[in-house]
Amino acid sequence: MHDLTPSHLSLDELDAWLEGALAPDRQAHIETCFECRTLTRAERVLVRRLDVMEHLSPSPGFADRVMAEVAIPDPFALRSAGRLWARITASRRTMALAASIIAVVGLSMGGSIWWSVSHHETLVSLESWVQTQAGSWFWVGLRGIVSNLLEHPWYDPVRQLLGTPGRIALVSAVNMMVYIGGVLLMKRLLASPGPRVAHAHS
Amino acid sequence: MADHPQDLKNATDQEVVALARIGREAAFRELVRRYERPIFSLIYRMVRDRELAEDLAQETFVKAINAVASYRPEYKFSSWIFKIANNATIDHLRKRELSTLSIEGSPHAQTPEAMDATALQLGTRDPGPLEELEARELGGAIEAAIGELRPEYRSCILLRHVEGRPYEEIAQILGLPLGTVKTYIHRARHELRQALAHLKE
Repeated sequence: MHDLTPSHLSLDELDAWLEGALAPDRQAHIETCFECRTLTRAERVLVRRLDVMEHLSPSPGFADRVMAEVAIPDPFALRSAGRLWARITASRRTMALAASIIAVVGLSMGGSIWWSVSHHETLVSLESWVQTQAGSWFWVGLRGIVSNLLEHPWYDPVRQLLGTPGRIALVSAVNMMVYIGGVLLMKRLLASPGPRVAHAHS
Repeated sequence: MADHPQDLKNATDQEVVALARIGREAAFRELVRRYERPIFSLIYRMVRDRELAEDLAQETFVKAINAVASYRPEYKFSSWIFKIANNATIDHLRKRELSTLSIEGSPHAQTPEAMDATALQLGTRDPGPLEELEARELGGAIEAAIGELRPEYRSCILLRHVEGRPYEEIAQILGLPLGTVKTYIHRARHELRQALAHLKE
């Protein structure tokens, strides 16, 4: 035979009742069940008492004392020497890795210095050849760029537009305003807010 | 970008944290301003010693500021800082075995002056003498009853009813399963109902 008496409120139902979200049939059960009625009444009184508990304040100057204790992190700062040393000496593997890097860098630098000192004449002739070649490549490149520009269909209209000092100044001013506008836009885009979250009670 | 103090007050937690991460001192101060009372209240009600609560609250903020680079913005900042505060407090309680406390002040206070200095100060408004007496009696009884709870029940009940955090967030803050948090809160309320049964409604 089935028990037709509705069961007492579960803990989840008690929460739902406190939030005013209890199903109507269960709400009706409270009206007829002495135990649940007593429980819900006591629960409501307790929750009201808890909900009015106030925030307490630390003594004045708390924020200053906190700020005096911290070093504001600099995202661009290099790791401190102490932390770097602690990481290097953390295990044999990190020590071996650090020793390998020091050996490779040291040997490379030493080898480079030794070769430079013992092949001074080679270095001088190499420098002279590089300078000659670089000068030649520079002028060939510049000539190519200029002749390429002259062949473009927009070259003549642009030349006419910049024909007088006044026009050059005007175009420069417009360019500057566009540039500043672009920088401000980028700054605003980079500062766009993340997902909204609720603030703590103050 | 919110650089002005007034802009910071209107900014969301995530916006303020973003500024803090690039080293803006004003942003750190704003985070302290926003959370000093909730964090101090939680810790105070856990340890019931004003001086100790201030030290632990300070430790919480120092840890949070020093670790702000490791904060993951997909989580609520409030959950993160409450987690740091709760961990610091629970660690301290475990070390000192300070689980049941007196409403009259720190159990470690040696003199009556020290007891007064560390006693709980309730409310900020100015009620009449009778109202003050009743409120003090009622508030003191609730504070004392909460102080008698197990520390894990205490964290749960304070986060739920004083801070108004949902069960899911409390579970995240305390690193407990959701079902455990619900059970702790119901057990805590059951114990509080029994402890406060003698008070008039």
